Amino acid sequence: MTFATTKKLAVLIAATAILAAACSSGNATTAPASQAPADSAAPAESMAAATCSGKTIKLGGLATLEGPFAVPGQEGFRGIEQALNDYAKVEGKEGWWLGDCEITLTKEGSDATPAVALEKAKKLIEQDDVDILIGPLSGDEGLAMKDYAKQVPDKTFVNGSSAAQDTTFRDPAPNFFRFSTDGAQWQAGLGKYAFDDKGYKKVALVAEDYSFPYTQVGGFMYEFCEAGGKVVQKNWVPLGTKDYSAVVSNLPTDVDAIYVALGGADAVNFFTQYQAAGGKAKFIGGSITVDQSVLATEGAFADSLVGTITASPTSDTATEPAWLEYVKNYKAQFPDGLPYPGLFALSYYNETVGVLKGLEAVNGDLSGDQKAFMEALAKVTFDGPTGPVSLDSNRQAISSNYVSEIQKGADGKLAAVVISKVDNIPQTLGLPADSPYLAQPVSRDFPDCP
Amino acid sequence: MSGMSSRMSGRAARRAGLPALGVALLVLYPLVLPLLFSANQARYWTLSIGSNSLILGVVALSLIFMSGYGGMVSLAQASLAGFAAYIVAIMNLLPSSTATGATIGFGWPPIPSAIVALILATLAGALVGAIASRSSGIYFLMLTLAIAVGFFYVVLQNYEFFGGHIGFAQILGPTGQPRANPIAFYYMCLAVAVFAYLGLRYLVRTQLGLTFQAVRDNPRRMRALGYRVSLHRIAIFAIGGFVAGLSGVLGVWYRGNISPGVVDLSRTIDVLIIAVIGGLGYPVGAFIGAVIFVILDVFASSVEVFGFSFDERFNTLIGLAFVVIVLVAPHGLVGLVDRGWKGTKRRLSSSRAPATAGEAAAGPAGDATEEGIPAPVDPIDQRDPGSTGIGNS
Amino acid sequence: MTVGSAAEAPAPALQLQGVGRRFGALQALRDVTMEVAAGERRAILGPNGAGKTTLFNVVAGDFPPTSGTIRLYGTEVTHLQPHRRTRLGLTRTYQNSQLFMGLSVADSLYLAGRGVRSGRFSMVRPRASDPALVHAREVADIVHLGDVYDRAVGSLSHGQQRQLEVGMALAGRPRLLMLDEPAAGLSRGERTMLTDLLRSLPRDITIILVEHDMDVALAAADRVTVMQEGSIVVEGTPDTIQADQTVQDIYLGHSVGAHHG
Repeated sequence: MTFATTKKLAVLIAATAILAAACSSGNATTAPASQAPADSAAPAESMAAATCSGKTIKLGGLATLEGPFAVPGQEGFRGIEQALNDYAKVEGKEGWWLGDCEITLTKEGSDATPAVALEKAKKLIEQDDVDILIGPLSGDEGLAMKDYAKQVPDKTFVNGSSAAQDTTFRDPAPNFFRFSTDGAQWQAGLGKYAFDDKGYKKVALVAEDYSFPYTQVGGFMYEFCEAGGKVVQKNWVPLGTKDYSAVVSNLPTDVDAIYVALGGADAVNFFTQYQAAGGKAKFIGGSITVDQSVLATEGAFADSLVGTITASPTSDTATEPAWLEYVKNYKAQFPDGLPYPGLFALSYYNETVGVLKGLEAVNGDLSGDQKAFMEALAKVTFDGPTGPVSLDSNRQAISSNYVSEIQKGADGKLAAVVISKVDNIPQTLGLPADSPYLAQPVSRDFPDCP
Repeated sequence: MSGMSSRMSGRAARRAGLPALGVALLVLYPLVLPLLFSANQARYWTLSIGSNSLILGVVALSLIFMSGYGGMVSLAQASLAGFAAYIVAIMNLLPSSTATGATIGFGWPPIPSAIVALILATLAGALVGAIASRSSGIYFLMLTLAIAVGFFYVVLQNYEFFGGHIGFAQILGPTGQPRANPIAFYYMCLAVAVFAYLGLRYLVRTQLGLTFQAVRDNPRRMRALGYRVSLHRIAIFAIGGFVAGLSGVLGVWYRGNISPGVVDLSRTIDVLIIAVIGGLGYPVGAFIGAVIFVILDVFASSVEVFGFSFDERFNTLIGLAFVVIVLVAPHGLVGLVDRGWKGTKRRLSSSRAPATAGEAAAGPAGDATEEGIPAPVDPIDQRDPGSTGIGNS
Repeated sequence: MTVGSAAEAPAPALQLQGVGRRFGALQALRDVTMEVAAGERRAILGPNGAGKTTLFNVVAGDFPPTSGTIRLYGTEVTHLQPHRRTRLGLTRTYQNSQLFMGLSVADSLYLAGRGVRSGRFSMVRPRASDPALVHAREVADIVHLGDVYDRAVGSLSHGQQRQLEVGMALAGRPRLLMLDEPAAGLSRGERTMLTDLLRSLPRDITIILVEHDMDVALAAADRVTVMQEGSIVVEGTPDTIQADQTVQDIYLGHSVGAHHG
């Protein structure tokens, strides 16, 4: 490299620095005023006109905007914004307010990898100086976030929708809160229902190979194995697998059902190929396996899904007034959203409501390294769209769950019909603390009941 | 001739001075930040912008080195960096401390772990070279891409060695937790980056470095001169693997963890983008490209244009910026500045020429002779080949 | 050196036995048998397409012959890779210059000299007193490139590039030097310079020369081989070749052929 090049580079670096400075000055986005027209659904509940100190409370939102979870990521941001619209709108004022404190939201998107999620979280916490971070979306990201939270004890981390068990269950971070239930809680009631009511004694499973499905499978197996059921074969496939022929040909034929924990396109591909190979088994579905995106595909496999049982923290067909109100607000605020808010929107929504309740309890006072706020946050309870939400001693939500069955409606379309709903499900799914099922983290090999 | 030599010595003096100034600025950088920003932001600019750019710059440097001096654009560099990162994790951790039931782990201190990682990354680079260097053009590109994708799936699905989808966490470097001592971590990255950059600059003027350029220019002639070309191609891959490995080691210490997302296709593309933004022909472009990439990546979501926020569409903005840079500066930003500079000089001297020579005959050819600098065949260090070559050293 | 005892006659520099090369349907070389004695200057003549360059490429190892054997100073090299033949003392030039356009003259000659010695992977910069650098400088002077020693190869004139082409072959300290039309595209003055250079080379270098220019070829050669359509037609001293009717027919017929057609 010659002298000339070096000198020119100095100019380039300077220009870059100026650009960066220009960018960093405008990093906090205030609420778009048009997001919630005053005449649409009225806020479910207005924040108390508390005496706040007039400071700005900065929220950071982190969800997945690239990769396999891009659509859920948008849902996550809708959840945050809806909670703010429902709880932090003040008549005649733009933006979101807690008393006289304005609440701002800065958004960042990851690509579902822990490395990128961490970089974006650092940007929000360190560069944008947000007070409270809400996110991330997926399981592995959440585990990474917990580790980062421990390094930043003076900021509050609130989960988005990531649902790996050990984000809160083992070695939790004191400043990490999760107002959404985890993947095991999302399966509450399913294992028992499969064994007791459906009479399934032997199942094989097909699931994606990462922390969220491990947790889902764990939640199912806690109940199913405890009841006496056997999981005779486990097939772990990489996220995004397209060819299931090896898995399908390997599945035993003498099982009562196949437990499938695959999401979106993975599920569609598996069901299609299983059907094409002449498979006849009944299915048990994970929480994102037979959601609307899969049921609406209307693939050749559709009829084979009738009778599939599944469990999830949301249900499109629930009829409680709080849920209906929530859905109505969602539709009014996000005309381009999904037909029904899914579990990603609900998770981020509940997290954000929890944050707002906590802020309300301390009148927006985040001083003292947020210690008082965190204490208040740990005690927050509220009635969410699907039922009561409270936190356990690990700051993990105790909340509601639905068991549903896929049925064909009068219009010929498939829908998940609620079989039962249970409130106040703890992270242990009611297992005693010394249960062998809780002795080890969920993984590909645990729990095991072959 | 005498005029030329005096100019050469002047240039030599400045050549020694300016990189030193650049390094001095980079040394001062983290010390100045606290004067401009809050403590949190200073740390962010030290680690997530400063150190991260240096780390990405080093892996992009390995790509630029291989493409500029070896004529081979390898898409496996991010994977080699990731490979080194995995080795650091495996050497550094004990099986009992991993979350995934990995069966191998040695619990070695950071530096010996890094040395093993660098040796293995060098060998892995050589192996990639042995596989890929038999092909050329699009097939070469596809082969290195296949190796990169293959490695991603290996670490994703292998639990015994690579920890599967979860990978490894809690890996500390010799400076400890980067957040606890950001400036020490930054200086370590800077030292490694300067070492890699100067090392490669030294290397290209050695016997081995010259063979790389000669193999790039004319492999057939190299064979006829007695060189076993395939071995030299493998050697350049090995060195590329070593430099990528440096980046991987720093990267795993920076993040504290390693998982398949660090070696996925996006990371491969990131490295390529950084190299192209900076300029594939300019080693220093690796670092310029990295800084710009990191800043774009970090701040794209904060940009508002006419009230339209890019916070959910930051990739669109990054993509647009990339397209603009490639269109405006096909040789990268360093290439753009370099060529612009030269063009200005040429215009200045040619507007002077008729006046001094008293005739308008001084065309480009006469100009070139007057300059004494042959037109570069390849942008790398060819502005003045004589003094970069062995003969003058 | 490699075979035979002192009592026997020294092995010929190059020995071809029934060498043939086929490219698909084209028989580019057929049954070429020839011997070039150590120290000899041999010119190979023939019209375009006679197989001269194919012969060079087969001998240099760019591709193996489809039949026959090749011996270099008694060592069989028929299927040896090109770089191994170079290390045995065979260097060559190309009809179309094969140079390192991104390097300088100095670097090119330095590399050419180092290719036949160990330390090809050295990662230490040579000192100015390095014998290989000294040698490169000497070769540059021999081929009259001393003035442009530090210039980029891409910036040299055509004539200078041809000189470098020869210089790089010389720098490898050859025992057998094969020159493929070294005079192509040179001016009259440059040709004279080339002829003088070839004459001045010591006799421990054997030279094989493909040349269109009869003047250059006959001035430099001890013996001449004439090829046509992949085969050797005639071989002899310059005088006998000049007088040979077959050669006259080939060359005159070839050049006059255009008038007939």
